[in-house]
Amino acid sequence: MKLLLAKRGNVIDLMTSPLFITIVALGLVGLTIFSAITQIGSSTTFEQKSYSADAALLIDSLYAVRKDVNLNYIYLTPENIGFQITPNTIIAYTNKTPEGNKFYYTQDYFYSNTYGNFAPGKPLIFFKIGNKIGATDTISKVPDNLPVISCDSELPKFEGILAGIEKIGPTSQQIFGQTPLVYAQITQGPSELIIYTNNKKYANALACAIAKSIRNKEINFEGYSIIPITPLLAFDDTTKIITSTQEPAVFVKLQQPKTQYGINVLNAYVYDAMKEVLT
Amino acid sequence: MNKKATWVWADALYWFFYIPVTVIVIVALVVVPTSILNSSVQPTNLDATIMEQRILNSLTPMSPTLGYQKDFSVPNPAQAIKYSVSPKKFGVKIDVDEVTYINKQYYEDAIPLAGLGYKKYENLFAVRGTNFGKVFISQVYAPNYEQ
Repeated sequence: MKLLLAKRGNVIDLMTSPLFITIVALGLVGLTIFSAITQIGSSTTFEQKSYSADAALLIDSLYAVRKDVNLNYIYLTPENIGFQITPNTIIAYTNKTPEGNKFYYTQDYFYSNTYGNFAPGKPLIFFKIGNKIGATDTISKVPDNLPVISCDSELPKFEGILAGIEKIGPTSQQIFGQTPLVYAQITQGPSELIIYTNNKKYANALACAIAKSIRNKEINFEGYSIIPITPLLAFDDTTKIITSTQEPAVFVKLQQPKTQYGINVLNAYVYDAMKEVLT
Repeated sequence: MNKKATWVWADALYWFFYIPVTVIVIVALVVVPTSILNSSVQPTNLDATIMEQRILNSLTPMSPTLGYQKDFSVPNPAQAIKYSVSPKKFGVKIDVDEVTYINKQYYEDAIPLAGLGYKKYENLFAVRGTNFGKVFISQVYAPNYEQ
C-alpha cells in the first residue's frame, strides 16, 4: 500500500517495499518448486534407488531359500539400468561408469559368491546352485546343478543273494550282494528315510526304486532323501564301505518313532519292499 | 510512542518473521522431496522378514550340497550365522539355547531407541525336529538403515 500510495517513488523505496519483496520471494519459491518437480520427473535417482534395493533384497532372499533348493532367476530390468555387485553391496547406475545408488545385502560367507559388473542393457541372471550364489549375464554360465536323481531309469535284473529278514535291525547290515551292494538299518527316532548311494551306474535309480517301494508299503515317514556321497563324505563304517566299492551300492537308513509300528511289522514291510525291487 | 515509531516496530516485527519463514519454506521445498524419495525406499519390513527366514533356514539341518542331513537339535546358532556380515545399519539377536548376534554392538546401542525412529521386529518361532526348539529373533533397524 505504501508503494501504491507513494506520490513520488525512487528505486530504493521500490526495492524495500514489502509488496516488491513478497513478489520476488514468491517468484523464487515458485521457481524452486518448479525446479524440484522437474528434477523429480527427469531424474533416474528414484529408479536407481528402487532397483538397487530390489536387487539387494533378491540376493538376501536367495540366502533364505531352503538350502537344498537350486534355482536361477532372470531379473528383468530397464535397458538404462546397470548393476555393479560387490561383496555386501549393489550399485544400480544409469551411466557408463558404475556410480549410482547403492543398497546393502547381508552376505553369507558359508556360500561361494559370484559377483560382477553388469552394464545397462545386459541381462542379469541370479542363481543359487548348491552352495553357490551369484549373478551372471548368460544362462550357460549358471553352474551345473547337482546330480539329479531320476526315478525313471530302467533297472537291470539283479543277480545276487538276498539275506534273511533277521538281518534287518538297528545295526547296519548287508542284505544284498555283491552287485548291487545293499545295506539296511532301521532304528527308532524321528520319522525319516535316508538312502545314501555311491553314485555308481544305476545306484541312484536303485535308491529311488527302494524309496518308492517302501513308500508303497504305507510306511509314513515325514521326510526322505537320496544322497549321493563320495569317500570324502563317508561318516561311518557303512558309508565307507559303499563309497569304496566300484559296484553300485546303497545304504538304506530308516527311522521311525517307537509308537508308530511294532518293530517286527516295520522290519517285514521294509524287507518286502526291498525284496520286490531286488529279486 | 508516536505514529512513526509504531511503524518502525511493525516493520521490524514483520521482517523478523518474514525472512526466517521464507528461508524455512525454501529449504523445505528442497529437502522434503529428497526425504520423501529416500523414505519410500526403506523396506525394513521386508528385510526383517527375509532375515528371519534366513536365520531359521541356517538353523535347519539341510545342507546346500548334501540335502537333508539330520534333525534340528538346537545347534549352536553362532555356527549357523557366523559367516553373515553386513554394513547395513541393523542388529539382530538370536536366542535359541544361547544368545547370538549379528552386529552385536549396533543391536545393543539401537534397541533402547526402538520406537524413536528405529524399528524393532521380534518373533518367536518353533522349529520342529528331534525335539521342539524355540527360536527368538529380535531385530532393530535404523531409520535410514541402508546408508
